[in-house]
Amino acid sequence: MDSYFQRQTQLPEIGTKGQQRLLDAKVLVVGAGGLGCPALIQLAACGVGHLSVVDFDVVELNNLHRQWLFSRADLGNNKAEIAANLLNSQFTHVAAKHYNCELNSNLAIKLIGDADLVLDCTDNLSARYLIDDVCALLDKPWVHASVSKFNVQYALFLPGQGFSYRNMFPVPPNPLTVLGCNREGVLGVVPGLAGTLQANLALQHLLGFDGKGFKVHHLNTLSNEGYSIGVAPKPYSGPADISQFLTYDYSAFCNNFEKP
Amino acid sequence: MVKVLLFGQLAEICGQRLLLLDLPDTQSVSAHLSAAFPGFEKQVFAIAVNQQLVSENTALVAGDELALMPPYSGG
Repeated sequence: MDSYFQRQTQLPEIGTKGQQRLLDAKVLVVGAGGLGCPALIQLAACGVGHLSVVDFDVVELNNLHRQWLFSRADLGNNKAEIAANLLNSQFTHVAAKHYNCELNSNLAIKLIGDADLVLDCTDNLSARYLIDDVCALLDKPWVHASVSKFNVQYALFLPGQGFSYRNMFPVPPNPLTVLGCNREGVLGVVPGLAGTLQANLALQHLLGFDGKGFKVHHLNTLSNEGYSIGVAPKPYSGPADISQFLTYDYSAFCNNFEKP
Repeated sequence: MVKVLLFGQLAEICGQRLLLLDLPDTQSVSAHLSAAFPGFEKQVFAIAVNQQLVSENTALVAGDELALMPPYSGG
């Protein structure tokens, strides 16, 4: 190992052993947008060696203030592909693959099955519940982050140990009450913080730093107040097995509300 | 009195991030806020008492701190 990571390996908590764990780790990042851009850069720079990026979306002009892996020259092109190419060219220790498609149920089983850790960098709740359930069924840890205006929610979920998104929010919200960045607006630095906080939780997990117990964290970036909530383990409550998962309609689950 | 911290869109609906209420349990806090603030009853949120998530109606004592945290979807 050359001195690229020397400032990390010199930490007694990390050392060359910890650094090698990062280099060997396989992380799946679902979404290369407002969360994915900061998360991917931090994971790559700190030495995560295998990154898979899933995103079917193309770059639009109003993305660029917060999705700064892309430039005006990339408009109309696939985000996952651009992100993976950039990571591969800038970070010689990284092997990045991209998937220009939506994370459907079959692909989720395959990609999450191959990963050590998943980052939910999506922008919609049906994807988040899908990731949560697959990670429970396959016992994979995953890092959630989500943004609402100036607020960030983030957590390392360990579904195999009874800590899941579904247990925090067993009933999905009425989609009209949860707007997201495109409809509400967002200051670019806020998902920047959120994706970076996600990468931080991911790196800590890969390095074996997880503390006892499960917490969901909140950051109000206007007041600069953090708030964390402890969560007791609970039994998994999603589709009972892979075959039920494959027929589960996440869109219906999240959109099953009477329209006004 | 108990302290109720409101996060995200709940704070916008209620017009403030912190309320002091004199109510006996978490269910009555939800009911009070649904009655007092239009739109609140449509919201889904996790409730924590003294920074620990609760999933059932939970009795409260003076000085307890509640946090009402809705899911966010933005990314």
